[in-house]
Amino acid sequence: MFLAGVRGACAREVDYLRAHPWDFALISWFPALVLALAWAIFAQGVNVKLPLAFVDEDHSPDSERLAIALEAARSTAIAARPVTLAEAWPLVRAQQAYAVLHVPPDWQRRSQRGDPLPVVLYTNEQFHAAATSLTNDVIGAIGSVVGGGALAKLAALGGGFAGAERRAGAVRIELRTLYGPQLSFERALGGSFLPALLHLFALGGAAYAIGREYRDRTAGAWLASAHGSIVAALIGKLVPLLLCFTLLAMGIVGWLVGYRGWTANGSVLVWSLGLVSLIVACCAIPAMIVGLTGTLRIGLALVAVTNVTAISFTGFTYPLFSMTTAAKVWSASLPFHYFFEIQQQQWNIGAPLSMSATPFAVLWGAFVIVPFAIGVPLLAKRCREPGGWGER
Amino acid sequence: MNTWQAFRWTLRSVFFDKGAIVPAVGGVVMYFVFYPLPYKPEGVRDVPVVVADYDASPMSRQIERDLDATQTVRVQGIARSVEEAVPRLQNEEIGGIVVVPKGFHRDVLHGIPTGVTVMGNGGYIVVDGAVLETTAEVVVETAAPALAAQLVLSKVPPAAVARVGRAGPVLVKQPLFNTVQGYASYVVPASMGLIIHQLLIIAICIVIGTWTEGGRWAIAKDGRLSVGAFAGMLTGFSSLVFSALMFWIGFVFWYHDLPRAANLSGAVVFSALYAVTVAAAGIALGSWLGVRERALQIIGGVSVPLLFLSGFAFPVESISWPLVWLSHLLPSTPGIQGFLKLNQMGATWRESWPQFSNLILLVVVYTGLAWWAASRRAPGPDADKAHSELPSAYI
Repeated sequence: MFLAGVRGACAREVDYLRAHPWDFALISWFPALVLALAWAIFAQGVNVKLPLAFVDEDHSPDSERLAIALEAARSTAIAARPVTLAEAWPLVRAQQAYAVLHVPPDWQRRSQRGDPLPVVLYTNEQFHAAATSLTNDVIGAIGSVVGGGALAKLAALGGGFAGAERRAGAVRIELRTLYGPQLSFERALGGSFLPALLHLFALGGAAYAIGREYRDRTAGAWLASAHGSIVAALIGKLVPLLLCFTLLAMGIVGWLVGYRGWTANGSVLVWSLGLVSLIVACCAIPAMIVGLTGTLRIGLALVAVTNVTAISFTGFTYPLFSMTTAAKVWSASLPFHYFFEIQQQQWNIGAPLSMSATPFAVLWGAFVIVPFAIGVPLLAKRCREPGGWGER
Repeated sequence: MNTWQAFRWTLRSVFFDKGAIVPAVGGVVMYFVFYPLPYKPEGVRDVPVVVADYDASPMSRQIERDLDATQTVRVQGIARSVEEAVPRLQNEEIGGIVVVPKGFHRDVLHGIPTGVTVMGNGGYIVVDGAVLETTAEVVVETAAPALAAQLVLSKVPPAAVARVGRAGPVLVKQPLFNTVQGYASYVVPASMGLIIHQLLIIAICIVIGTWTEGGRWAIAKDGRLSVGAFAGMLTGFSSLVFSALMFWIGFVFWYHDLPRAANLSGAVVFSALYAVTVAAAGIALGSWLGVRERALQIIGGVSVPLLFLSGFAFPVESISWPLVWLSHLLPSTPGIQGFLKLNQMGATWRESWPQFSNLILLVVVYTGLAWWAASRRAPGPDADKAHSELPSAYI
C-alpha cells in the first residue's frame, strides 16, 4: 500500500515534469549549465600574467634584472613602465594594473654601500586575490635579485662565501602546505563552489516542488495520488528531484576525480555520500519550511536568503576561527557547514573515516530527521485544510 | 496609463505586495546587517596552532610566547610530537602545526644549521597563508638575537653585526584603497552591486509575474503597452534600485566604516545607469518567466558565477576570454567593477569610462529586451497565444 502510494505520487510528479519543461529544466540541465559555467571560471587553475606597473627610477643593472625576474614569474606581467609614481596611479584606478612596484633612485648604489633603500610594492587591495598572487611573485623576484648581494654582505663579515652560506642557512624555515599543496583554483575553488551551487538549486527545486501543490490548490490531489499517505506523497514527489540532483552530484565527483584527474586524499565514496546526504537535507529543510509557512513564496525566500551565503560562513573564504560568535552560530545552523567538513576531510585532508562520523550524524539528525519530523505532520495538516491553499 | 500613472502604479505594486517589498526593502536592509557578519573582524586573527615542541628549551618557549602574542595566530597547545597534533589539524580544530626540532636552541647558539617546520592546511587557503607567513616572521625575529651573538662569538666586529641588524627592509608593502587589508572592506563593497542586483530583480520578477498571472497588465488597460507606460514602469523600478544603491553607498559603507566616497558624483551617476540596467533586466526576465515565484528559485543559484565573473574575487585575466566577453553582457560585471572604481578607488570619469560605456550599451540592450518582452506579456493571455515566441516558464 505504502509503496503503491510512493509509486503513485512519483508517477504524478513525473507527469507534471513532462508537462512543465521549465520545472524539469530547473532541476536538470539548467543547474548543470551553471555548474559547467562555474567550473569553467576556475578551470585555468592558477593566476597567470596579472598586470603590474613597474616604476624604475633607478635605471640600474639590478633594477633591470628585477624587471626580467618579474617577467619570468608565472603570475606577473609588466603591463606598463610609467616614469613616475604619479603616472602609475591612473593605471591602478583604471584597473590596468593590480599593483605598482617602485624602485627608488640610487637603489642599487645604496644597496651596495650597505645603506639600502627598500623597493615599495603598492597593491590594490580592493582586488585582494590578484594582489596576493602578485605579492608572492614580487617577493620571489626581489629575493632572486638581492639574494646574491645579501650573501656577499654576509661573506664580508668573515669566513668567505662558505661561511656566508652557513650563516644564511643557520635557521631554515620550512613552510609546508599540507592537503592540496598545488593550490589549484580548479581543485580548491571548483571543489568548494560546485557543491555549494548544487545545494542552492536542490533547495530551490524542493521548495518549489512541495510549495506549488499548496499554491496551485492541488495538495488534495497530491495526497490522493499517494493513497492518503503524506510520507508516501512526499517521498514520491521527491524521488525525481533526488535522482536528478544525485546524478548532478555524481557528475561533479566524476568530472573532478575521473575526467580532470584530481585525487581525493580521503574516500571518494564517503565524499559522495556526504554530497547525497546534503541533497537529502536540501529536500527535508524545504519540507519543514513549507509545512511551517504553507506558502511557496515564503518557503523559497527563506531557503534562498538563508543559504545563498552558506559558503561565506564555512571558513573557506575567511577563517571560521576569526569570525564573531554570531557568525559562528549562524555557520553551525547551516547544513552546508557539516557537508563542508566532510568534504574537507575526504576531498582534501584524507582524514580517517571515523572523523567524518560526527558531521554525518549532525547532517542526518539535525537537517534530515528533525526537519522531516516537523514538516511531515504540518504538510499533512495543510493538505486537509483547503482554506489555506492558494496563498501567494 | 500615462507615464506618471504607470510610475505610481509600479511603486504601488511593490509597496503593497509583501512578496515584492520583502526583497526590495527588507532584503536590502537585512543584507546590510547579515552580509558583513562573517568578515567583521576584517583581518585574519586567532587562528589556533599547536606547537610540536621536541626541544622544550627557552628559545622554543620564546617562539611559543611570541606566536601567541601575534594577532593572527594563537597557540592552542603544545604537543610532544607531530603525530599527536596531526589529528587536531585533520578535524579542523587547529589551523596549523609548528615543529621545533630537538636541539634547536643549542644548534642556533652553536651556529649549526637547524630549522623550524610550519605546516598549514591547504584546504583553507587563507588560513594556510596566514599561519605560514606569521610563523616564519616570528621564528626569524626570535632567533635573530642568538644568531647575532653567534656572529660576534665568531669574531665578526660587533659594529658590522649592528649595521646588518639596522639595515632596513628590502621590500615595503603598501596596500592601496583598502588600507587595512580587511576582508569586510574587500568583499562587502564589491558585493553591493550584486546583492542589490539580485534582490531587486527578484522583487521586479515577483511584480511582473503577478501582473502576468492576473491577465492583462493594469498599465496596459487597452491591451497595448504604450511607450509612456513602459517608461513609467521602468522609471518606477529603477527608482527602487537607485534608492537601494544610495542606501548602501550613503549609509552602509559609512556604518561599517568601509572605504567610501572616493568619487561620489561619479558613483551617483553610475548608480542611475546601473539602476536602469537592472530594472530593465528584471522586467525582461520577469516578463519571460511570467510566474510570480520563479525568480526566487533561480536567482540564488546564479549568484556565485556572477560574482566571480565580475573579476573582483578572481582575476579576469585568469578567466577564459569567451566567459569574459559573456560577462560584459551581465549588468553585474561592469556594475561591480565600476562601483569599486568610483566608491573605493577614486577613479575619475575617464578612468571609469569602460564601465560607463558598457553600462550605457547594456541600458540600450536590456531596455530593448524589456520593451519587447513586456509589450508581448502586457496584453494578457490571449496575446500570449499569438506570440508563442515568448514561452512561459509556467507552461
